[in-house]
Amino acid sequence: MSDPVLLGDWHAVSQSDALRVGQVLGATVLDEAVVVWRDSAGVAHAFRDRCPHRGAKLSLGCVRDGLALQCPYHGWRFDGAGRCVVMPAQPGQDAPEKFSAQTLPLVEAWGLVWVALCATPAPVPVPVMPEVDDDYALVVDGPYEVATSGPRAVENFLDMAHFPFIHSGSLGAEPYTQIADYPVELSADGVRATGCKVWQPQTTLVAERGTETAYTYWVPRPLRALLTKEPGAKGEKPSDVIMLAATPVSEVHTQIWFVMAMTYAKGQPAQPFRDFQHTIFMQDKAVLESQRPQRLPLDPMAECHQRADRLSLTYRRWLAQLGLRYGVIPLA
Amino acid sequence: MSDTAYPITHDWYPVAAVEAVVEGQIATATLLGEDLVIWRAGAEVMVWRDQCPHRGARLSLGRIEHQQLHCAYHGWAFDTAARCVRVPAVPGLVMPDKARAPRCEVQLRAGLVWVSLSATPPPFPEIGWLEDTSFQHLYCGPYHMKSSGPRVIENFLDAAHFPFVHAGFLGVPEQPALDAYEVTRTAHGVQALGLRVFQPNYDGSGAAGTVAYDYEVHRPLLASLSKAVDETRRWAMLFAVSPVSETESRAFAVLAQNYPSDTTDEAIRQWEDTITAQDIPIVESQRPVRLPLDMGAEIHVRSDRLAVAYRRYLREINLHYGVC
Repeated sequence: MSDPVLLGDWHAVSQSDALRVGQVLGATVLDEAVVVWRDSAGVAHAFRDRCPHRGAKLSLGCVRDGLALQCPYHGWRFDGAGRCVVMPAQPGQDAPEKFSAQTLPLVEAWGLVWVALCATPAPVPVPVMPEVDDDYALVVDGPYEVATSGPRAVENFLDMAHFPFIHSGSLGAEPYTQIADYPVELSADGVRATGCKVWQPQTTLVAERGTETAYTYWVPRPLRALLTKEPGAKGEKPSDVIMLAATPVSEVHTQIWFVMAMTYAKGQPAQPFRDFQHTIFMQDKAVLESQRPQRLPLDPMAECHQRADRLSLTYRRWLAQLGLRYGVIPLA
Repeated sequence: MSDTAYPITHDWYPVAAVEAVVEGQIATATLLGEDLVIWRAGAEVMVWRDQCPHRGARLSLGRIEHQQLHCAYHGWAFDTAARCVRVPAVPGLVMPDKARAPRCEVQLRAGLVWVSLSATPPPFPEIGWLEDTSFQHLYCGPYHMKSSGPRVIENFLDAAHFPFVHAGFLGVPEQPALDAYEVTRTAHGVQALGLRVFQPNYDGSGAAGTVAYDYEVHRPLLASLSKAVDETRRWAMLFAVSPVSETESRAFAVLAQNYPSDTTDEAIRQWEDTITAQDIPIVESQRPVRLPLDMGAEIHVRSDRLAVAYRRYLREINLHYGVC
């Protein structure tokens, strides 16, 4: 299904560090096969993963002479602009324009390689993490494979009321189950909720005692969300900004990436932070994969809702306004 | 161009190696979406649709006893001519001829069991060296590929991929160029003659040399090649796709050579298995899975002349199966 809202969006397909010079990776986004590769100048490129000659997957090929992706089948080579520059069975023959691989927009930001599936109209703005500057250490984590829709995975990220049950002992604990009302705002740049408070026995890997934490959530795109831990005092920087990016492989299969920006992690090894996040996400994954229907129902009558669900309800309403169809059950 | 679709179910397809059908055991295969049961009584091999005429249960769930196949459901027994000779629930009942298991026409050739799903199959294609006793024959396969039959055959007809997919076996990366070659339409298919390729291991013995390929397409899913090693020595191969469905194939090969060899059958099979294993991931990655017969759908260059002729032939005979 082609969904104009998501075709023009950026989807993470690899950590930047994992796509080394000379490396080729295949991915699937919105049911489309995509290949990304990095040339010897360090520039990453994205094509549709199909050779124009005989339809073979270019991701089974390799980078040749540092600057061209070679098809595994007949050795045709494509430069970064997608132009066929070598046809080995016919040396010396120039390939016309139509022999080109289909290039896709690609950007690298926040330690991730992002691709968009449409060239026109231009993709949406490149992902941002507004508060994050040089005072933060970045830890990039993922992909986590999860057998559900992207919107279900994002909604789970926006939900605090499950903390005492799914993340008992870390992000929440009984009897601290009550969620106080919080304001939610729907505007042109997405959904925002502020002052979302919860008592957390261990709010981060390095927390030494329990504390009441307040989150700001911002959902700038249907499959991308950020949470910011609100600082204790005015003028302080938030200690944590976490971005979740959900890459829709299919309507009911999603890859989750986290970019964690932390003031207290400068000079620290990254792995323990990933391990902490891994534990949290594995707790989420089992429940996420059990949810039925897998596609998020946008009809507000489709499931039942409690006061604490205001953010999820606003998220659903916004998705319906955008006309999203992929990974959701649209309004009748 | 013909108005009616090519009768793909009439052709002969291999469904098993003769030696893989063991007395007392039941084998199965799926051909063109039809489930088949395969069994043996002495030298005779039976291939029937895998469905009891009584209640439609799979006959392959049954057992072989006294050269009869017994259905697992109600114990009906069928003899080698597919006649129902016993209905245990009604002792003494003589069944009418209609109660036959649905049998297929069978031929045993080159170590393979060939089947046609037609009641009046066409004659078996004439392939000279297949019956020539001066050649030693060796079957290989089956090779399972999640692709359409026409894609698999076209890969067999393609020499331009040797240096990339079969480096060290059928080609070398340093010599990827292919000279122009001629293609002709034959009575039953298409033919390309004299494609010269340097091959580091052209017959599985490790011998290297420049060989001249002749390719022939006999039927939509049956093709052969014959390579001249020198003026007298020839190495030949029959390649038959047995379509499971439009997008899934099993392929069998018959290799033959008219000169003595020290290489064991096992080593030659291993060589062919390796080559096919190199093809499988590439062919399974091809999209669309069905072969596009619209000449504008993919790109064609000079070295694709045989592939283009094959696609034109499939269009001309009006093949509808495994193509788009």
